[in-house]
Amino acid sequence: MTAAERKAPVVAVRRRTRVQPGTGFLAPTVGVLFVLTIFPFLFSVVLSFSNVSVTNGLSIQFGSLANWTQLIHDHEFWVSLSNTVVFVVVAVLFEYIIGLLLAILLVQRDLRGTRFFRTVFLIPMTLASVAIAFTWRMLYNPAYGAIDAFLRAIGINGPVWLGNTHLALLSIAAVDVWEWTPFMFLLLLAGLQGIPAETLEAARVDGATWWKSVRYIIIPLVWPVSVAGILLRMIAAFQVFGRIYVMTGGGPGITTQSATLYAFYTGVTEFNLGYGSTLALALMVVVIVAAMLLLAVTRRSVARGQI
Amino acid sequence: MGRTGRWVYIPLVFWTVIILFPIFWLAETSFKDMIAISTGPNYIPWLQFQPTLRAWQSIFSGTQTVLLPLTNSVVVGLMSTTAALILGAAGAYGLSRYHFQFGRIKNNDIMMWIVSQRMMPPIVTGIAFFLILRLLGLLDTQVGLSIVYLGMNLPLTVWFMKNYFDQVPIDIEEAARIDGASPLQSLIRVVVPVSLPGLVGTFLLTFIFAWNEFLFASLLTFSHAVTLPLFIAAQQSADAIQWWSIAAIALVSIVPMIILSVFVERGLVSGLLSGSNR
Repeated sequence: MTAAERKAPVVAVRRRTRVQPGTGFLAPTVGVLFVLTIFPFLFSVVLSFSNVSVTNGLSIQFGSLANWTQLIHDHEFWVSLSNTVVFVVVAVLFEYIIGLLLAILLVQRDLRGTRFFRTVFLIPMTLASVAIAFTWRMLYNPAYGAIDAFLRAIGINGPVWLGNTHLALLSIAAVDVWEWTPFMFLLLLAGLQGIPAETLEAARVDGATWWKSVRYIIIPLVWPVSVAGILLRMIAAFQVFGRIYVMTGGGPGITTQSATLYAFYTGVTEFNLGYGSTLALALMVVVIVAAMLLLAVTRRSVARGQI
Repeated sequence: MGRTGRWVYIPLVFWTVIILFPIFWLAETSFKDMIAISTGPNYIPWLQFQPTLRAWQSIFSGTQTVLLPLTNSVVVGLMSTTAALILGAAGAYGLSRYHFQFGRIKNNDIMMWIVSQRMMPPIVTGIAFFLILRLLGLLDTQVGLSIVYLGMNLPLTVWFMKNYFDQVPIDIEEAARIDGASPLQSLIRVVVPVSLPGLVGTFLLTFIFAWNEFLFASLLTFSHAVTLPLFIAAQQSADAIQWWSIAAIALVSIVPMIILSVFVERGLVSGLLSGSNR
């Protein structure tokens, strides 16, 4: 029993017995979401705690911790997870910094051609990441690609971007930066438009350096919208799959294999559905923890006045 | 800002070039053959390389044409997006106009629950869907993939449409209600017409997400219901990569989206950003 029910039992009883107005609008959505997300999620949980065999028809024996103990000792899982974290941190960090710099440059300037630039910046976000990944795979190609050709032209011997164990993951993250920096830029620009011109002007008059007015005025003012943008991009980047699948397939070795890619290979290619589900659920736990950490750290630093 | 502010165009133009160059490169590749590709990066058609339509002919008339994946992408996109929009708009309307309370759960909690489903990586439900669709006989079908995309897009539709309905003034509905319209009638006859821009924007955005989706498609389809992204990825397993054909197929996937961006830029940008401004 909740506190509200204990205090006002009459109201609670009445509420429970009568269908609330508007339920007809909401019920189909909630029902479909239960069937299409909650149910498969629970099914996945069951699979991860079961011995799943597909050799003689499907057999699911519930009540086994084998998958989860295997996970803890699975070196490949931890490598995949750390690849994913590196990808997320690099991609989101650069998207935020470049997006913020562009937004600061452009705020409160009446530029001609705003609509043109907004359209161009929108385009990458609307394209299939698989098509983009293929395009960049060509651009990165050491023999035919434009990037190494450009470097050769200015006298630099370009690396094998996607074949180099140190560079491959960063090269893939760069494609994410290409696709999603405009999102951060447009989001932060919209956030900055809300700041009164006088606030920024006052800082300039008081002799604040450019860096100081960014650090102590602009960043605190756009912080709420920044957190929302970083959170959204972070959650999406943790799920990275198609981009890597097309560009390297996880290689060289497993140096670019993301957590989703590993779960995909395990679940589908090797048909190990139980362990595949376990890997997927482990990723989900990591995403939730990371999101909560981000929000907690943000809240604390706001409370301390650091931001 | 006048003359002094002109330099701000430099970073803008720089990033514009960075965005457009790969797309230009992709478009060019679709008109190249092996010679044009292997003689290093060639940019200027007729001068540096002889453009050819071979790739375009092959994807429309070869043994494995782009037509089946294209049809699948259109059908699955339309089915899943229409269903998500009808269900999601109704749900969003309910959350926007009524105060629910189920025990301690109120409107905000329901909204949080719906939105927080984005935190769940699609691979979690994907592996389960593989078994579920197999049991139902819906693996590798347009209907099966559409159902899965409905689940993927429904939270987004509710989210976008709730933001939109919250800004639609309630007065006109109240007037309709006084005239004797039922809640459903006032939604369909009064709210939907004035919310058309939001509905169209949401429809297009969720259609784009379905159009570009890759993970579910690669888990749940393999020959009859493959979509364009899967078809692009599948080309690479061929013995020798036919860059020009993949480029042409990729263009079939991205050109409609570029056209959309150009014509409904405002609606798409505001839709993409709307979720983050809360």
